[in-house]
Amino acid sequence: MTDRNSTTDDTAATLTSGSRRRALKTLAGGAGGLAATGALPGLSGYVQAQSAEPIRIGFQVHRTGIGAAYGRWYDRTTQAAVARINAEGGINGRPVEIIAEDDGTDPKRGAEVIEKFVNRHECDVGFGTLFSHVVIGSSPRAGELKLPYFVVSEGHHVASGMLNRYTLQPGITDVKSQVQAMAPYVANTLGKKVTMLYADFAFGHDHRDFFSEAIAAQGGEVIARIPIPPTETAFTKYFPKIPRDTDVIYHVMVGPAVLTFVKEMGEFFGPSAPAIFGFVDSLEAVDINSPGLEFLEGSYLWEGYPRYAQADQTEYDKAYREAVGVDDNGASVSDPRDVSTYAHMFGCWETLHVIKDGMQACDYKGPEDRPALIEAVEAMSDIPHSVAHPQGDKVFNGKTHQVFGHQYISRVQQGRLDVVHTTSIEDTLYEDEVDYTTQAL
Amino acid sequence: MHPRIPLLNPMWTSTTARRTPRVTPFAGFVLLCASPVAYGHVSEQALVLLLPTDVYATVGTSIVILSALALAGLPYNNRAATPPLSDEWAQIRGPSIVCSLIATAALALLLVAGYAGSRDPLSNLLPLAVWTVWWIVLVSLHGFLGNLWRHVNPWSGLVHVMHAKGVRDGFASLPRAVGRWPACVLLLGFSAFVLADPAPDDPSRLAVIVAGIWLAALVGASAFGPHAWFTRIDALSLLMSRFAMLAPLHRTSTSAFALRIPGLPLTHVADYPRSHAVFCTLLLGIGSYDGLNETFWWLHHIGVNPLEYPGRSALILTTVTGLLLFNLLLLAVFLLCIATGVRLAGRMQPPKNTVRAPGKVSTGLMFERIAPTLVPIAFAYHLAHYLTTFLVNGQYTLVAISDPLGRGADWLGLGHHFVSTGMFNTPSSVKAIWLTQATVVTLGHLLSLILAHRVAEHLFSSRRQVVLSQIPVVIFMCAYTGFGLWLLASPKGA
Repeated sequence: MTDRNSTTDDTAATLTSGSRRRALKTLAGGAGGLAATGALPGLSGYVQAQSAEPIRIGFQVHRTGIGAAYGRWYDRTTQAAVARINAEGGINGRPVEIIAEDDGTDPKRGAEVIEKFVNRHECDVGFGTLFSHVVIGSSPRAGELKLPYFVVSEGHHVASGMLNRYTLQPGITDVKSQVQAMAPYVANTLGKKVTMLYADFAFGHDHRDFFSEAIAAQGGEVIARIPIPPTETAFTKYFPKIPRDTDVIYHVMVGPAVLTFVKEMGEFFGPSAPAIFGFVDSLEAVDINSPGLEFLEGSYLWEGYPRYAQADQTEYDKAYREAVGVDDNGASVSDPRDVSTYAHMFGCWETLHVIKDGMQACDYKGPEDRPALIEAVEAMSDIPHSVAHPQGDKVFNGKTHQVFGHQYISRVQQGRLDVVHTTSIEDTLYEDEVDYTTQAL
Repeated sequence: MHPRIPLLNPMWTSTTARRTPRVTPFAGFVLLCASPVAYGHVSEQALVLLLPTDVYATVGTSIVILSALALAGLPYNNRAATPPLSDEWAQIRGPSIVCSLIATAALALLLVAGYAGSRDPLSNLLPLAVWTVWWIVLVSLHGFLGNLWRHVNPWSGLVHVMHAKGVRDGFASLPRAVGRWPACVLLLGFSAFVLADPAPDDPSRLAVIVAGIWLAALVGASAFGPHAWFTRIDALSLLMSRFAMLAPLHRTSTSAFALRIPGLPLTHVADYPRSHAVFCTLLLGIGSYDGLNETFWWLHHIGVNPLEYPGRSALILTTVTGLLLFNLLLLAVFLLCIATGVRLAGRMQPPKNTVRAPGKVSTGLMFERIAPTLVPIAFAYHLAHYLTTFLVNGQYTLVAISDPLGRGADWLGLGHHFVSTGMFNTPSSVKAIWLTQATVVTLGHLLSLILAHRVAEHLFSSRRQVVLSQIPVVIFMCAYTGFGLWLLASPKGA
């Protein structure tokens, strides 16, 4: 649990199992090779690999369909990460090539894309899927074709055990751990009597169920659950259902009506509202200064990664923003109106660095080493805070194929989001629901 | 609508003993992109919902209603002959042939790019050229500049060269009775592809499809002759030539340029069969359905949660069925309006010089003449529907043109251009975009109303009859204005 192996000063993964010896050997060899050949930033780093084939990473990207705008930022982050990895010598001395395939945010196409990665493009791994239903539609095919499939979806489906040994989520935490980690702060700082307003479908139900259990463990209680139909665009009639003794309103609304929801909630309560807590998912890629959102002033939001550069900004965050082209407000450097999906897209950056570490750990040569890559990633445990992992340090659970990390609670203050609480990783942990390592490779 | 997959390992215990795994859209993010080219953004949608769109829609509809009343108050004026609508495909020559040959070569290069280039549809030039440059930009330009497609289509030049080399064309004939029905069928087929196909912008797949269409059209144009093919069978050429009638500038018989009321030739279609009227109605139908099938309202009625849209693959049959039913419904409602108008106007003899067959003005005759006046609305919908897509995918197109091989070139000097959707994130820009769309939609209806009134003046011999015949049509168009503006304002989720 304590050995730290890295080929760069900022990238490391601690290895825990039988693959450690092999990993150490590989890393030593890799580092030596790089040193001998002058593995400096730039293409000159592809030493022993002048004639080597690139590492092909199949990028399953939502270019069209309902995930398109998020696909745009996932693509931008991915390109930035690959540029950095290549500038530092690639992986095992080989350049990384991204093969982007649009899945249309469509599960059936997702499975077809996986097949293309294997049969047409000869990709070494698949990577980058965002929407849960596409992950669930694609994962079985990845398992059948034995293609390591690194998803960046935030869904609980990986850790729940419903997928397979070839599907991993090492770069972004799952919604269950995120919701669970909010409960201590909500109960101890904002209040113990919580009313939940949530979109009445699976997304909202997950929040309802995970949070109800977590707040009860903190001695709190969800005193009212108010489901709101997904197609609703007027909300005033729901607010009178909020009990008067509510300490905290927990809202998880998504979709185009979210500004209307916040505006009408603000108009309903006026200045005497209970504490308001929500997930930034509702407002991802939305300017926090949009009309209607002034009612969020003073309220609290979960953030997977703080959108606004904080007073104690790390060098890692600074370097990451610069590489992706995002300013201190979380918007594109080329257009301050173009707000990024900052709370989530870091998952692409971090996942690619995990792939790099895994491939270096197992001395990945080609598709025949895919099982070894799975084992190498499963062997990872502690992932230190670094440029490769700018969101924070993490712990990867090789059995459940899910990473766990810090969560952030920010407060809306003067039109920006300021972090008021950072959870511990322990707050996010829950009992294993699967051991994928028992499945055959 | 999503698959419910049993949890393989329900180790996690909670108040629910056995959980159904959640097919959760990535944290519920909903950013919308429907057809291969349609593009939406949650910020834009959210900001539109905060606009007083009901007030704007009322104003737009009122303008159309007041205009209809004003038209009804005008004195009867059976104007002198309008230049008849004509399709001039047989007349291309000289520079047009060269342009067409260049277009053929460009298409060949695009097909190679599509098949062998980037797999990313927003980096590969083929899907960008097809869906952004051709379907959005070129089609839209027709309404302002006239029939460009006649000069830049990738067949005419080749057919001409083949003809000059002695290759016989036009060896097959299309029976007159066939009319424009093939174009009607192909138009619905094209619309079904745009709206229902799971991957209409997959570069290599699109390359195969476009190559197949190109080859089929070449064979068709050779077999039936280019005039018959491009004016009676090829739906997209017919679509563009209809939109071209809206160009305010046109060439007179002396080759001089002159101004005209946009769409004026659409009021003189005496030589066109009923299938042409159906085609024009379908133009409106496919555009309207393109907007409708993205709305929360529609998705709710087909049992789809717009916030966890299951993907196009799951809805192919539903989308195609909806397309056909919507167009049938539109045809039925429009015909009912026409029939009611004819009945209101009574049995009067039409002026001899404007009616194809002597006799009373029948529902069929009025339908043939009035339906082409729907084209301005269809064109307005095209402009309004694709405006936001153009604003984003136009940027991707520029980037791809600047670096067509994806090797880091910068032919256009764009530098490191990040495609932005920032225009959808501020109230002022969203309001400007929405009002532009709404103005275009309103103007389209207004123009249709004026053209329909003019057609009625051709058909009927008194002001009273004109007004009476137009009452149901005016009601239809006013209601359609409200419908079009509602479409613009509605939250969308597909």
